Amino acid sequence: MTLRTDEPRDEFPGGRPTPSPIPRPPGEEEELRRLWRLPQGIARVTAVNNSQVGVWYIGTALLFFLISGVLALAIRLQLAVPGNDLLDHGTYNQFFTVHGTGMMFLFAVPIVEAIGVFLLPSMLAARDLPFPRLSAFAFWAYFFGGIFFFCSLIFDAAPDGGWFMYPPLTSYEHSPGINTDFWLLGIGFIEISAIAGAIEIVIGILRTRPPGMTLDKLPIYAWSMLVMAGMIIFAFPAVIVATALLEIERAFHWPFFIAERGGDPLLWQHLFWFFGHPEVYIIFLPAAGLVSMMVPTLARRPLVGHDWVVLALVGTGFFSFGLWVHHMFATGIPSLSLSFFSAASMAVAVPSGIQVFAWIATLGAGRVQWTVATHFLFGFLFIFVLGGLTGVMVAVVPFDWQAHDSYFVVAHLHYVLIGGMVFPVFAGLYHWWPTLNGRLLSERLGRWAFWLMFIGFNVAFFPMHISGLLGMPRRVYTYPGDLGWNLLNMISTVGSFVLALGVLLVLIDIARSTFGGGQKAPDNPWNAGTLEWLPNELYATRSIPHVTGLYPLWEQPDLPREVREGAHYLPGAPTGRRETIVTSPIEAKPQYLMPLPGPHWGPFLAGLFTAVHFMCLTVQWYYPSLVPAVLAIAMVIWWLWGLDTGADHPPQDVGGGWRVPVYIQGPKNHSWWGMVVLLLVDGTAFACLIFTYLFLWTVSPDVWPAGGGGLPGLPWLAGGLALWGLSALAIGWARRAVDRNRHGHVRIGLILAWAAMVVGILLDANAQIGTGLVAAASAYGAIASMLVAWQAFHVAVMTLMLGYTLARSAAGLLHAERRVTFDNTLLMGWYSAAQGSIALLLLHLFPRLAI
Amino acid sequence: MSGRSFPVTFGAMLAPFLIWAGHFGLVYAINGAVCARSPEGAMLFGYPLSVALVAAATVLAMAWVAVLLVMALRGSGPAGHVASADPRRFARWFVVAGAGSALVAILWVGLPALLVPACG
Repeated sequence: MTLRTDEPRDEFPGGRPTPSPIPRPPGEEEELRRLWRLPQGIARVTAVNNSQVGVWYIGTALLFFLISGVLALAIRLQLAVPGNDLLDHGTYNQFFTVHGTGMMFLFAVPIVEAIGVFLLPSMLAARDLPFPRLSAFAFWAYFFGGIFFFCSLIFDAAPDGGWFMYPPLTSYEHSPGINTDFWLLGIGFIEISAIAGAIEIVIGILRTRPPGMTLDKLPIYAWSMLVMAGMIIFAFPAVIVATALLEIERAFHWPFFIAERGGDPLLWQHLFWFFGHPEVYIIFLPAAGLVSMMVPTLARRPLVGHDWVVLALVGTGFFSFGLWVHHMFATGIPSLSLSFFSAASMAVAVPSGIQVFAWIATLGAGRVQWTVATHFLFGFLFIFVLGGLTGVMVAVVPFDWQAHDSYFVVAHLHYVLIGGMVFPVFAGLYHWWPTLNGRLLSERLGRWAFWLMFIGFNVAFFPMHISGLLGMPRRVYTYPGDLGWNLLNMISTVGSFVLALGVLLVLIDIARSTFGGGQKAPDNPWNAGTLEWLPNELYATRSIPHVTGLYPLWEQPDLPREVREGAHYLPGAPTGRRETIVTSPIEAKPQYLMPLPGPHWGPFLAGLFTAVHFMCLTVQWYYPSLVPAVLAIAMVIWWLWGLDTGADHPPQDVGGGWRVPVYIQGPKNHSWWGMVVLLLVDGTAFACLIFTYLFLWTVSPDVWPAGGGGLPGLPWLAGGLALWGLSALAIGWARRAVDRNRHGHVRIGLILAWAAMVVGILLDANAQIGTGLVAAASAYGAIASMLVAWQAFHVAVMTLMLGYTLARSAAGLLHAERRVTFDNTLLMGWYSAAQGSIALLLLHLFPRLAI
Repeated sequence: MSGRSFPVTFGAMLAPFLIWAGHFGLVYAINGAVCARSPEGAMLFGYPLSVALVAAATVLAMAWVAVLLVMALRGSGPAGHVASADPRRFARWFVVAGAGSALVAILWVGLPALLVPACG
């Protein structure tokens, strides 16, 4: 419950009293510095501050960009002249696969999340994101996983099936060895890190905004990150499911994609592109958000059509999910289906166009500052608009049939991705660099870098439109010299090296600044209007401002001074630890004071052990892989154990008349929100499995049991449903026991729920096996077994969660006033029971009812 | 005035787009399933089965979005009751603009059903 000491003062501009009285007591700021300081020496890896993890994250993404870029240069050298033997076809395949995979999975998505981790808290004036240790774990998992992935090149074991990994090219028959496994296991696990980041970002944006920052005053960048994170939540499970299915097919020969046994290679394409096309917008929207923040600053006026741009971001997020089949126009899908996707592909150009017009109108109406960032923004507009136009071209089905798998598409995708994402990110680097180390990057070097990149990019990629229209296919490692492609390829190769030289200049500039070179920046060098330009240190801003508009620094000129003096919210650390204010998601009113965890070895070690676990799986050390898996879980439990602290302090005054609790339970708690978002991810993955089941049935109904023959009897269904229902009821009963602090009943309820789940899954599996079901025999056997296995995985997760909750109960750390852990277990338990019931109904009833 | 539930308000703001997404998924599923599994030449109301179902889904989705649009214009519906003036105005504007966009998008996606052979 939120208590108020007096009538809250909701508005503070115009000389009215600020939320906290000044001058502040002595020692308050030093206390903040002490609490938020970084560990030193080797212990620096235990840091969880978003400002530190964000920098590591950005640096690692740039490193992987560099490695992937070097591979691109090797590819261009190989294609510079016909009949070249610089790279053999096997090495070439590995290079272009790792280049594409590295750029998409290890650079593009991570860097937009990294920038979010770094920038969002300061843009929202929060002290940190809500789950700092989860952020740190996501980073370390990505770091170790990425290094491991690129190392596969050294051992000639890199994946070679293209970044899209289409079966049957990647099946166990056509791609033996471990190359493909590196992709499937390596990338699959790194995507889990992306999902962790997305959960963090969603809850950070919705719950840690400063008081007064109502939903309509949310900065555009935060909107774009919110949409991006939402898209990750609904898109990435599809690729995780796809990689799991393909890896299982490779390891155990379950035929999800093998047509001879009822599978279908097109299933991969559906799942992959259901992720893969939104992925383009997952990359583009945050970049567009950065642009929408930079353009008003550089044009010195508010963004034209702010609300329309927000609508466009949300609309793009939705429409982009309706495009996945436009990568499959040449696969023989019914013409009416093609038309739906063609229409959606064209429709998505409208919201993108709204944003472009808003940027041009703002720049046109303002007085533009010509910084390096401005150059990159104009370069972005030119290149992205060209990429968008060719995008509309390939959305037209007959044109796509002509240009499909040609270099025209290579040109289009690079125009969209480099234009739409790399140029804005480089603009952002120059623009926000002062918030990172207090120095400006060089304007002179930056302009050289821009022109080299802009000219190099167009020289490299524009000719590919023509070579594509002349018939040059993509993914070929060489070509004969009499097809008219020679000059175009040579020009592209020269352009690619000019582009690389520009990138190199940027990296030199960054290195120079990192080691202390360059000019010191004033607090707000570009005279921006948003909160990230408030004076801040490791603890973020000295006090959390009260926001009254979209551009607080323009509308409240005294705000930086007031914030620095501690005149706004939470000017100190009232409970003597790291904390930030949690506000309501729509009105941004203070709800409670969230304790934030500090440095810990757990995230670093858990990331390392998780990577080692997947590395062991890749090289087929199945039993040894259990050791790092157990260690990784132990590390997570270690860092979690101390977090659910209960209401260990009385409500605190955070300023402005708001006295808020330091602990809150139920649906207002940020951890509860995290669990709900995780369940959305989980539910999406389950929906992908149901889609798989139905899709395989539509293509191969002949391998399905007919009319109930070959299916377990209906009593098995009733028994299974009863057990899942019992588990849900038992957890619900335990919840009521927690309310009354009846600890014995709590433990009985939890154990009963666990027992019901274990017996339930054993019964389900036994019923299926009893019918003679063989997973490797047919697509039906494979997907039916997969659904049971998926549920068994959830029972395993529940075993851990229930065991953890029981342990906390036994240790006296669970009671009516301290129950966030229990509430999370409850949510997962109910979800698992519901999912188990749906899976049972599908497995038992669908074959009986289907035509 | 008490604050409005986030799921209700945010859900209302996204409703036009969610209906578009539902419509899109449905028309693709109808077309895919009918073309793969229905008897050759199945008809409904004198039209190929897939075309008739897609057209019906399109009309229903458009009608639903139109209702949301009218409710938002009148200031009623879930988005009309959040606590402070600015978010309320913004939420309502968002529903109106989103509903307009969704109407066009649903019609645009549904139109091929009238123009293109169902299972060709």
